[in-house]
Parts: sequence; C-alpha cells; structure tokens
Amino acid sequence: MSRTSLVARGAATAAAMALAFVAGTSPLAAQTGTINATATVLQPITITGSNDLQFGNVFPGVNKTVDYTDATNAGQFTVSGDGGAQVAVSFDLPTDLNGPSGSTLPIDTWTGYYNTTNSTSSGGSTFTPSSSAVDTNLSGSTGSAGSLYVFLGATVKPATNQTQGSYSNTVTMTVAYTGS
Amino acid sequence: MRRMRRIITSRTLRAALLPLVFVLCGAGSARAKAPMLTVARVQDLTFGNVFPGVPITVPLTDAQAGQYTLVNGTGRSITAQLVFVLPPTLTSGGGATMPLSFGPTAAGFSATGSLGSIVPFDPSVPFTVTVAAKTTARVFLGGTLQPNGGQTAGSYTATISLTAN
Amino acid sequence: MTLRRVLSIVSVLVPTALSAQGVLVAPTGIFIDPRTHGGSVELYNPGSEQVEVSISTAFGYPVSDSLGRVTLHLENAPDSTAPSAASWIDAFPRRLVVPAHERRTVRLLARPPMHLPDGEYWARLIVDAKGRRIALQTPDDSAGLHIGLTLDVRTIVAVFYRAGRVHTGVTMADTRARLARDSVDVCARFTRGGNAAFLGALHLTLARNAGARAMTLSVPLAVYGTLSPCVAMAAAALAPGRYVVRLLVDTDRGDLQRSALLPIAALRDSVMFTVPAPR
Repeated sequence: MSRTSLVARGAATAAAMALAFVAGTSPLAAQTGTINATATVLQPITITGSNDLQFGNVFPGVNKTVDYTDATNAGQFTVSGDGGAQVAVSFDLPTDLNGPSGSTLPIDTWTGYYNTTNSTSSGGSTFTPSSSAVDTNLSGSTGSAGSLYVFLGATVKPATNQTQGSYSNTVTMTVAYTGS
Repeated sequence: MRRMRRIITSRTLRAALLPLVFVLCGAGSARAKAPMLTVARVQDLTFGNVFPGVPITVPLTDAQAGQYTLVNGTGRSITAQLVFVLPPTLTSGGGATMPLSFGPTAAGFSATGSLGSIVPFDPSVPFTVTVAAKTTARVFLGGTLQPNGGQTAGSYTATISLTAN
Repeated sequence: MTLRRVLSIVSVLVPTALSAQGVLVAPTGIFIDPRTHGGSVELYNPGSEQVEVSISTAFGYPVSDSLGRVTLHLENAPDSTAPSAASWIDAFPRRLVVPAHERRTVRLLARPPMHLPDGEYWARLIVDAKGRRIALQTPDDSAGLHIGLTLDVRTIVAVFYRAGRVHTGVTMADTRARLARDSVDVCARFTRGGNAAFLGALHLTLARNAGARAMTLSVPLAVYGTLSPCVAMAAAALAPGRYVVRLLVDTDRGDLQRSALLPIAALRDSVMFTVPAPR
C-alpha cells in the first residue's frame, strides 16, 4: 500500500472518530460537585436492667435470701454514658410481692453494691438500696465511655400457710443525671 | 500518471481532512460553551443525631442520603466516569474525628433521577455512566458512621466531592 | 420512625445481656430558647424486646448534703418564685413504645408565660421505661412458690429554657482535702452568679509537693445556687509525705453541646494534705 493511501486512510479514520465523538456519546471536561456529610453526637445516658432478681423455688415458712454477689439470681442494672458522669441512684422497692388471688408475700432486707467494673468482689461500695439517693460517678473521665454496675439482693419471707403459686413485683432504679 | 495520482491523493486527503477540521472546530466551539455535564449538590449526607458507641447507616435510598444532579443540557448523550473523593472521618470543630465508611453499594446512579431506577455502585471505585441528551440524572450516596464509645458530643462534618470526567 | 436509618446493635456503650431491657436517653441536657420554642430528646432501645416509655416533667436541680454528696432535689409543686419551667414544657408524645433496636424522638414544646423575665428556667425530664415482665415458671413442687422481680428503669435529665440575655458565673471557696481510708476527698463550696446555672467541670490534679503529678480526675460540675461537693480521688497507694491537689474549674464538657455552655473565666485553687507515716 502506498504512503499516500495510508495517510488518506488514517485521515478518514480520524474524521470518522471525530464524527462519532460529536454525534454519539462524548467525553467532557471534568466537573466536580461537593456535598457535606454531617452528624451531631449527642451524649446519652443508658440504663439497663441487665438481670432480673430471681428467687426461684421457695418453700412456705422458709425465708430465702439472694445476695447481691449471686451472679445468677441477683438483680443487676448497668448505667452507661460519658466517662466520669455524675449520677444519683435511688430505688422504688416493693414491700410485698403479688401472688395468686390477691395473696402477698413480704420482701425486705435489701442489699446493694455498685462498682465501675462488672464485679462484686472488689473496687466498689456496698449500700442499702432505698428511695434515698446514692451519688457516684461513672468510670473514666469525660470524653471516654463510662460505666456503672449496680447489684441488688433481698430476702423473701413466705408464711407457713403461703398460698402456692408465682409471686412477682417490680423494682425501679432511678438514675438522675446531676452533672447538668 | 504520476501527476494524476498526486491529484487524486491530495483530493482524497482534502476530502478526508475537511470534515475533520470542521468537526473539531465544531466540537471546540461546543466545548467552549457552558459545561456539557454539570455536577451539582442537591443535599448533604445527613446522619442527624448519633450516639457514642452506636453505629448508624444511612442507606442510599434514605431521605437523608447525599444527592447530586448530573445535568446534560446538550442534545447528545454524554458518557462520564464518576469519581468520589471520600473522607475517612467526620471532624468536629474541636478536632475530634469519627470514622466514616462506604460499602460496595453505598452509592447509586439514576439515569432518570427517580429512586426506582437506581443502579447501586461502589463509591470507592470509578463508575461509568451515560446521561441521555437534555436529561438530569441523579447520584445518591449513603454511608456508615461508627462513633466510638467515648465520642465527644458536638457537630461533625466532612466534604465529599464527586467528579464527572 | 420517619427515617429509615439503620441503627446497628450497640457494640460498646450498651450491654448486650440477653435479658437486658432499658433505654438510652440523649442528650443529657436539653436547651430551649424563645427562637426554637422547643427541643427534642432521642430514645433508643438497645434491648431485644420492646420497651414502654412514659415521659413527665418536674422542677429540680442538683444539691449537696453536709457530707458533700450530690443528689437531685425534685419539687412537685415549686412556689411561684422558683425558676421552674416544668409546668409549661410539654413532651410529645408522653407515652410511646420503642421496639427493639429502634429509636424514637420525643419533642419538647415550651409555652412560657408572657413577659417572662430574662434568665434561665429549669425542668427535669423523667423517662420511665418498662420492659417485659419477668416470666415465672410453675413451681416444680406442689407446695412451692416461685418468686422473681422485674427491673424497670427511670432516667432523669435536665431541661433548660433560656429567655433573653443569660449569663453565669461561679466562685470557689473553702477548698479542702482530707485523707479517707483509700481515697482523698477534695471538697469545695461553689456559688453561682448571673441568671443561669453554671455548667462546667472540676479538674483535680494530685501531686507530691513540688513533685510530678500523681493523678488527675475530671468531674462534671453543675451549680444552680450553692453546691458543696466532695470528690473522692482513689489514693490507696500514696506514700507518706506532703501532697498538693490543684483545682481548676472551667467549661470543658464533652457531654454537652459546646454552643450551650455559657463562658466563665477559669478558676484555680490548690490545697495541701499529708499522708502520715505508718506507726
């Protein structure tokens, strides 16, 4: 093939490509748009009833105590929030449990322990749960995650002629944020 | 004969090159006008209120997902490659950072602009799209925030750019 | 839920015990002004079962007792001179159900009385959360009883309504440190100035006298009137000798929105104490 015909063919190809470029899809100069990603971090406080207070099977006339150290049956609450957060902890405690046909069963001798780690063996403080608040702080310092663990025990005192059946009630733990 | 071939050759070349020159000039003048594919912000990617230690994902179809438009005002369809610049974190005014990530289907392209025709894609790799003549397409972007357990309270922000090449 | 945002199961902040039930409340301080007329509080259920939530308001603020313990003083019927916003801040809704792993927003709407003088007005938002009742098995003995108690939780956070120009101030006095069994109790008396509560932090640095610092502790500080808190710094392993505790009060709070913090000039003081040699 001669040199001139090669040149002519090349030019024709270029022209065809240019036509396709304009008539069909086209590349373009870079165009950029921007958006923002935004979020607002709110500092929460979370209170969780982690473990119900369970006495299991109890026999009439036989008192039964669940100690706050009982890992399986003691009541346990967990408070999470800003490290070092200052809180006041108090309780609404029942004096009786409700059973079948309106029967009741006394509960008392509440015991408690709070700690910044999930342990009842050391590092925390014992207290007597009541409507009077205990003030304490979550673990850590502000700007880090903080925790507080609260453990609860009590004694039930069924009468010798206690009506058989299931007895229950509710414990409410109040956590007031006193740092603001 | 040689003279004859020379004439044919030059005529052939002229015939071939003329449209090329015409086309290139035409294309040049078209390009000199307004951009053919305009990328514009519609809305930010808004995570709203978030809590320390609680990850949150905004899906690309969510009302809070980020949105851009790709406007093709020309009479020709345009093929472009979409390239995101994705920040790894959001930053607060005090300098605190919060990890931000984008999954393989965090972005979506809709040739018609409607949610029903979204084609998901990975915003971390270039994605080729075609925008038909005289239409507005949309690009959607979701993401996942992972505030740590001690994340400082406050407002966080970052800029996300989208380039159409 | 108006938004289809997806909240993952809590990984760090919220415990994941199977029977856990409770609620996350955020933020811990809600600020409202005449421009916004309202605010909101976010609730999130980290548990695996729905939680019934009821919302109420009361007037209250932190107080301290003679031992330096800080608790919340609540008044159901504050007198007319109290800067209470409890009766005119309403929550919507007041009762709601938060399904497992979902969030809800409670709106707060302020309807202050006309011609409210400039200043800050206070309320406490009380969030009661009830989860599923304890499931008691049938006693496995004909004479037996089966007994258990359900745990419910109540969270109380602060609400502030700021009318007109508000400013605050705080003074620190009567600083002292005393050695307890396994801690150093650092106490001070704080008195608020201005017409708004002081919200800030107390930073403590314990050091051997003229030596390197041994320990630091930062705690939130909210002074609505006068507050005399005592802060315990764990100090079981301090060697005998003279120590100094430096106190710094500022507005460095990571838990509240910065824009809501009213500025003050930082306060500083220091106090000495001695760890005696063992006898």
